[in-house]
Amino acid sequence: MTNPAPIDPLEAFPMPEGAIELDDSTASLSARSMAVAALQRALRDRKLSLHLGPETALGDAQRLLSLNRFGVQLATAGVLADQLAVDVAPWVSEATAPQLLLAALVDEENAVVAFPGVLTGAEFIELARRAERGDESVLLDPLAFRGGVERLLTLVQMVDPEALPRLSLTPALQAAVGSLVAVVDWLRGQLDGAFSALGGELTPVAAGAFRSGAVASEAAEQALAMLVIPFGLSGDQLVSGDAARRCVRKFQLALIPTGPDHATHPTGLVVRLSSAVPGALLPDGLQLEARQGSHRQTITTAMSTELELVFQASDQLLDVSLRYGQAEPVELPSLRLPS
Amino acid sequence: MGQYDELQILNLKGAVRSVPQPEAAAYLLGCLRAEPEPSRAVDLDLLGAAEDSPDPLPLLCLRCRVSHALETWLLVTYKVHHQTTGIELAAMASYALDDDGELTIRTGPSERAPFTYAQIASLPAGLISPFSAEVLRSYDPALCGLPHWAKLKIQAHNELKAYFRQHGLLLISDWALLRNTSPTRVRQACEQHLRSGDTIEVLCALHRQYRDPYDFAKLKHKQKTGKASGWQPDLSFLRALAPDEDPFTTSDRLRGIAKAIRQWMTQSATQSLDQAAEAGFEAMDPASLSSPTDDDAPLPQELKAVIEAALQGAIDQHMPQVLATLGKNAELLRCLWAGWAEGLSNRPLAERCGTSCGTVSKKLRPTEHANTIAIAAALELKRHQAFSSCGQSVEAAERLVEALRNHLLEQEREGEVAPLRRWIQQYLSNL
Repeated sequence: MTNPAPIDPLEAFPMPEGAIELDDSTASLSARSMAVAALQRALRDRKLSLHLGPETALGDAQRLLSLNRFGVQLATAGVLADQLAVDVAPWVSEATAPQLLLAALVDEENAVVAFPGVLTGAEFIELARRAERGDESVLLDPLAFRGGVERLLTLVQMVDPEALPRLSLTPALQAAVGSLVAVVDWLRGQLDGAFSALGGELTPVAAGAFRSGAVASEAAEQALAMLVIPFGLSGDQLVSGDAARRCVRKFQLALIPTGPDHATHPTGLVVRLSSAVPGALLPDGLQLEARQGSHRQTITTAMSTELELVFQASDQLLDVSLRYGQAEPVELPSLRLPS
Repeated sequence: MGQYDELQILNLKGAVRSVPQPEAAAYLLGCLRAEPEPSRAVDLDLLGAAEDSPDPLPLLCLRCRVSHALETWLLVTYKVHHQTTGIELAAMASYALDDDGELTIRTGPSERAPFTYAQIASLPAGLISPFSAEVLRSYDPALCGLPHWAKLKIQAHNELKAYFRQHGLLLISDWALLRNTSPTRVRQACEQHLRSGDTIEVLCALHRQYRDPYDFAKLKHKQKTGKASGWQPDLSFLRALAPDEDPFTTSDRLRGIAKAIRQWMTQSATQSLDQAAEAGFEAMDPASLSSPTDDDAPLPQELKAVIEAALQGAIDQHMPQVLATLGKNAELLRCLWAGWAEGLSNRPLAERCGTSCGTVSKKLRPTEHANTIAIAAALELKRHQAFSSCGQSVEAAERLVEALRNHLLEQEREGEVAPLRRWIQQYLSNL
C-alpha cells in the first residue's frame, strides 16, 4: 500500500444534476419503487400524460415498465455507484426484450433519485458484449447511460415504437455461428434453420429479379436459386430479420448459387449486398468479407450501391461475414459448395 | 486540550465557541489527578463511570468529548462545501452543537431530570435533545471509537440531511457507500489511499462479503423502522461478516475502506471539475437538421418560420403554467425567473432573491423546461415533411430536440437575448 499525500475526504457529495427529491412517505420503499415514484414525479412536473404501466406491478423488479407503449427496463443502483447490474433475463429473446433501458441511481437514505440516462436496445447490446458479467446480469458503468430522464422522454414521445427494435442478447446472429449448410439444398427449396432465424428467405429466380443495378454480372445471370437475408442498422448495430425491416437504413444480402441452365449442382456462388431500395446508396463502412480456404476477399462500401463477391465451387468451406464499425460482425453459417 | 471539560456550543450570535465546564474539570482532577489526553481508554473509563453511578459529571465529560468530534466534522464539511453551496456553519451547528452543559435534561413539557446515563437510556426511542445525549445513549464501544460514532450519528441526522439537500448536497453513510462501490473501485481506492496493516486482499475479501448481509439487514431495518436511514451495523452483523475476527477490528476495516473510497472520489471529483472546465459546447441550428435532399422541403426562410412558430406555440403552452405558481413561493419564483431572464447566474440570483444556490437550481431548472418545450415543438415539427424522419431515427429525433433546446437557451448573435429569456422578460413585464 502506498502512502500518498492525505486528502480530506468528502463528507457530503453534490447532488447529481436533475436529481429528484421524494417526500418522506417513500422512505420505506424499495429502490425500484423509489425510482418509479421519481419517474412519475418527472412526468407530473412536466405535465405529461404518458401512460406508465403495468399499473398494478410498477414495483415488481421482474417486470418491464411500459411508458407510452415502449418497453422500458429499469435498472437501479446507489447514487454514488460506479457499477450498475442489468438483469439479462428479459434480453434472452426478442419477444421479451425491452426497447429502452433506463438507469436510476437511488439514494434511499436521502430519498433522492437521479436518472443518468437511457440506452436503446442496440446501444445496450453493443455495450453488453464487452461488459463484465455478474450473476445473471451485465455490469455497466452508470456513465455509459446518457441524456438523463430527458432522453427517455424525448425518445418515447418522438420516435415511433417500431423504430426501436426489441433485440436479444443471444440473437440468431450468434446461433448461426458454427453451423454448416449445403448450398445444394436451396435448389430443392430447403432452407436451413440458421438462415431462417436470420430472416432469410428463398425467393423465386425470375429474370433480373436479383438485379439491383442496370447491369448484372454474368455469373448472376446463371442464378439457380436466391437466398435473401434482410439486414439493417439500428444505431451502430447490425440487425437482421424483422428487426431489420423496422430500420431506416436497411439493405439485403443475397446469396446466389449459379451454374448452367437446369444444373442440379451449383458451380459458383455470388454474394451480393445491396440496398433494400433498388439503386439507393448503401451506408458507408459496411464490410463484406468471405473466406474460402486460404483465399480471402474483403470489400467495403463507400458511396456504393452494391457490393459483390464471386466464388467458384470448391472442396473448401465458404465463410461469409458482414461487419459495420466496431460492432460484432455477423457470421453466416459455413457454406458447402462442392466442386 | 479541553476535550473533556470544554463544550463546543453554538451561541445566540450564531458562532461556535468553547465553553469551559468547571464541574467537569473538577471531576477529572478528582478522579484522574490530571487533565487526561483524549483516548479510547479514557472514553471507556468515563462511560463505565457514567453507567455505574448516578453522577452526571462523567457523562458531562463525554458530552464535551462528543461536542469536539461533532465540531471537527462540521468544520471540515463546511470548509469543503461552503463556497460552492452556501451552507452556513451556524445552521449546521444548530442540529449538532445544542448542548449547553446543563446537568439536568428535559424529560417532558415542563419536567427535568438529572442528566445521567441511566436517565438518557430510559428515554423513549427517537431523537432526543441535546444531540450529544442521542450520540451517547446509542454508543456501543464494541463497534468503534466515540468520536467516530459521533460522526456516524451526525451523518444520519435527518434534519441536517434535509438542510444539506436544500443546498444540493447529499450526506451518504459509510455503509451505503460500501454497498454501492464496485470491487474494482474498492481495490483502486485501497491501493491509493488506505494506510493499514491489512493486505489489499484481506480488505477486498471483506468488502465482497459485505453486500448481501447489508441488503438483508437494511431490509429488516426498513421493515422495523419505516425508514431507510439510520442503520448501523451491530455486533451480530459484524460477527457474521467475519466470524474469526474481533467485531471492532471488522468495523475498523470497513470504515477504513469507506474512508479510502471517499478520498478516491474526492480526487476524482476534483479531476472531473478540471476536465469539465476545459470542455466546450457548440450549439446547433435546428434549420440545419431537415433533410437537404428533399426536393419538397421549404426554403430555409420558410423552414425557419415553421420552427419559430412551433417553438412559440410550445412556449406559450408551457411557460405560463411554470410562472403561475401560487402560494408562498410565488414571489421568490418571480424574482428568480426575472433575474434569470436578465442573464444572472445562480450565485447573484440567490443573493438578489435572498435564497441559496441550491434553491435556485431546484426552483428554476431552465434546461429541463427548455427540453420540455423543445419536445413539444419537435412533435409539432414532425408532422412537417422536412422533419418526418425523426419518428424513424433515434439520432434524428435527438438532434432535433437538442438543437431546439439549445436555440431556446443560447443567444444567436452577440447582443441578442436567447428566445426563452426574451419570452420571460416580455411575459413578466405584461403581468
